[in-house]
Amino acid sequence: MIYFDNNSTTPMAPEVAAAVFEASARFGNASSVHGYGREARRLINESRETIARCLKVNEATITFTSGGTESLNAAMLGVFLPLQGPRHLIVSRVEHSAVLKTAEFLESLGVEVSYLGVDAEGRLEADAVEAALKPHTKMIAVMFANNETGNLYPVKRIGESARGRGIPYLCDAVQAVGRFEIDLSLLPIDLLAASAHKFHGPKGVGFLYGRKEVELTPLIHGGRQERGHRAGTENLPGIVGMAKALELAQGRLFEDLRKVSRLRDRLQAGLLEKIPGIEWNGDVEHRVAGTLNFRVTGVSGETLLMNLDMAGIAVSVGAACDSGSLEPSHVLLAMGLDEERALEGVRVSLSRYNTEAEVEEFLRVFPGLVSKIRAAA
Amino acid sequence: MNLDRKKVVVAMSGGVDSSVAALLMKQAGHEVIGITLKLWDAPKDEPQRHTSCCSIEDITDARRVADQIGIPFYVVNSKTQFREQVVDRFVQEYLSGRTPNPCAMCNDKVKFDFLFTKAFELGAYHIATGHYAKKEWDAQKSEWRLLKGQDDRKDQSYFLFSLGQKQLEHTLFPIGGMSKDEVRKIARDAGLKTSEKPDSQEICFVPSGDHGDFIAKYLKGQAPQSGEFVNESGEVLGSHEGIHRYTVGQRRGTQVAQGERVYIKAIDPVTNRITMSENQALFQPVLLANGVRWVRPVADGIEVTARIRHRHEGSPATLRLVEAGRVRVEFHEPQRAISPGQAVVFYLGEECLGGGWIEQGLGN
Repeated sequence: MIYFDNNSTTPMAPEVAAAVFEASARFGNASSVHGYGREARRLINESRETIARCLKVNEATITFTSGGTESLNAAMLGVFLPLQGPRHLIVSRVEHSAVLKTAEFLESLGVEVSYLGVDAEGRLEADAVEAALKPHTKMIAVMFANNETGNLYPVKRIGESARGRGIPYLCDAVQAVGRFEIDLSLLPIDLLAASAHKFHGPKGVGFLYGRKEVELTPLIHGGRQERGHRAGTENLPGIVGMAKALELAQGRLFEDLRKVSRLRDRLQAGLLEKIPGIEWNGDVEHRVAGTLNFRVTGVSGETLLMNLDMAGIAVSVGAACDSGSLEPSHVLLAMGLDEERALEGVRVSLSRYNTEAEVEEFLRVFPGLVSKIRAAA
Repeated sequence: MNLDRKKVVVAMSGGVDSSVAALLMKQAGHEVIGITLKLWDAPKDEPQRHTSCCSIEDITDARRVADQIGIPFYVVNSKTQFREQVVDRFVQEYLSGRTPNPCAMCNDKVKFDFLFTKAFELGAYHIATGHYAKKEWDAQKSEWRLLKGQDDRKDQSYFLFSLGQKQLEHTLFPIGGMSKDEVRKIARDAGLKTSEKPDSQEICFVPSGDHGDFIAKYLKGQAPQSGEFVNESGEVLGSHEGIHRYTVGQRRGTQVAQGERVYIKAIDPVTNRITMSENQALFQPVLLANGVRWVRPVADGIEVTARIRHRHEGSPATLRLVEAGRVRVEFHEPQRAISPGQAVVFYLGEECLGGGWIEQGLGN
């Protein structure tokens, strides 16, 4: 079995699994005053310190959530819900649906939303963000790295122009945290969302970084956990696991980056050599290390996925709707591909746990599948 | 093309018939791949009590049955084709004063084509479906014959008339030789989640059964206007609610105050008029059909039993092959309410020979 779908989720690191297991035995409620509670509180505080240290920020800026989607909702709704009068939001068309659907929801509440397009490689220039600014712009949301193409966006420049105007900049860094060097003491990002299971941590836990200058109305009301930002008893094993996973990732960041880049480049070169009519989706020059998005002309991505699945190889295609059937990716559509071309898009995403042998196995199996499908047409 | 005879793609709808079809294929030692075609998204305001096909519930059921059987399962999106080839044409047919048969249209233009494409791309020699129909190899003529399902009340060969030799070669009907009771028993014995699921009755994308309302909603206010009911001499009898709501042969819902019972004889989309007549005038001895497909070739002048709708027991007729794809069907006895748009399907005993789309009734 070969797992090449690490932008969807990653296998939990063994060290993380051990930490989660151990923390599961610490059943105290961190809000309790007694020893059990203090033990839980200590673990949560330590985890928050670890994460803050990895990102080079103050630990008071880290709020634990249930994952990337909640972090993004908490940031967007947290900024806009209390606002009255003309309110404007800028997002890119290639954001994750957690941002786009929340933007649509805000639109239904009367918020004006500008959706910024991208070019054929999925690129978005910081100037385009600047050009879309309005006097009443209250937030800019452009992701760090795209989940489908791996494209990196000009976070620093977008952040600088936002900071200069006092507009909060929200960065969906779900695909970047733990995979890419992120120093928030240098980057002008005001709000940043992350999810543990994208960097070999557990599912159901993530965090939202928020500079204290940005005022957020809480989404979830109840107890005073997370300094009143997010009510509800903390997910202790998840939080401990996330901190462990980030610490681990940060410690081997460049080593992993090099490995994953090398594997990806080998995969790309091999495909180029063996598959006539292969094309790349996205900005080949500026993308996260492990992502390769391609299409084989005239071959549906869905069919490729099914054939690969039956050969024991997991990749991803387009966007799954609620029934599990595939819709064309909104990211590829935003890049100007028509529906048919968009449905040809296949995403391979690698992690530190993939090997050269797996890449070679993929390159051995894949051309045969393509020929078989082409022959059936 | 190098296809594996052990591999079978089973079309799973989430109902009991296709669940059992998948189970039987697996038990027979095939390498089975379950596929649900996602054909349609119910509108968001569709009342929940009408669960339509392709609902999340049905797809979840199909997925759970695949888990129970232990086969890989995929949902394949064929919404665009279904909308264009079935739903749009269904609406257009009603707007043209005709009575479409969407299930036969879907089998003809969407379902089988899609399944074959997927199956071949996956290297599978066969697809299998949960239809009540059988196929039989005629060794003398070296060709396949399509037969009615064993269970007379459940026979679905009518909807499959468009299958040709090549398609039959690659299709299996695992439950064609069984009764519904047997199928349910197999499902029950295997503990399949769908064993007690009721049969679907309505057109899958019109779960309420009211095609007039569906069309009105689908056309978002662009549905046909009300018009006049007239009798055969052209006298106005009353007003109708738009021709898309009516079907030839129908009596109820016409709101015409007449002494005798009157029925819809003809629907004219140009004048927007619906002609009413007494029952006797609905009988016609001849029909013309187009888009005719043959399971296997037949000779001009052949005597057959012709069915002019699914729930029609069939009536003896002589077939005249007018030209390629077109036949003239001469019934021995006049038939009531021959409806343009419906499928006419030809049988020789248990064998389904083929069929086509009714263009018009003649005579009378």
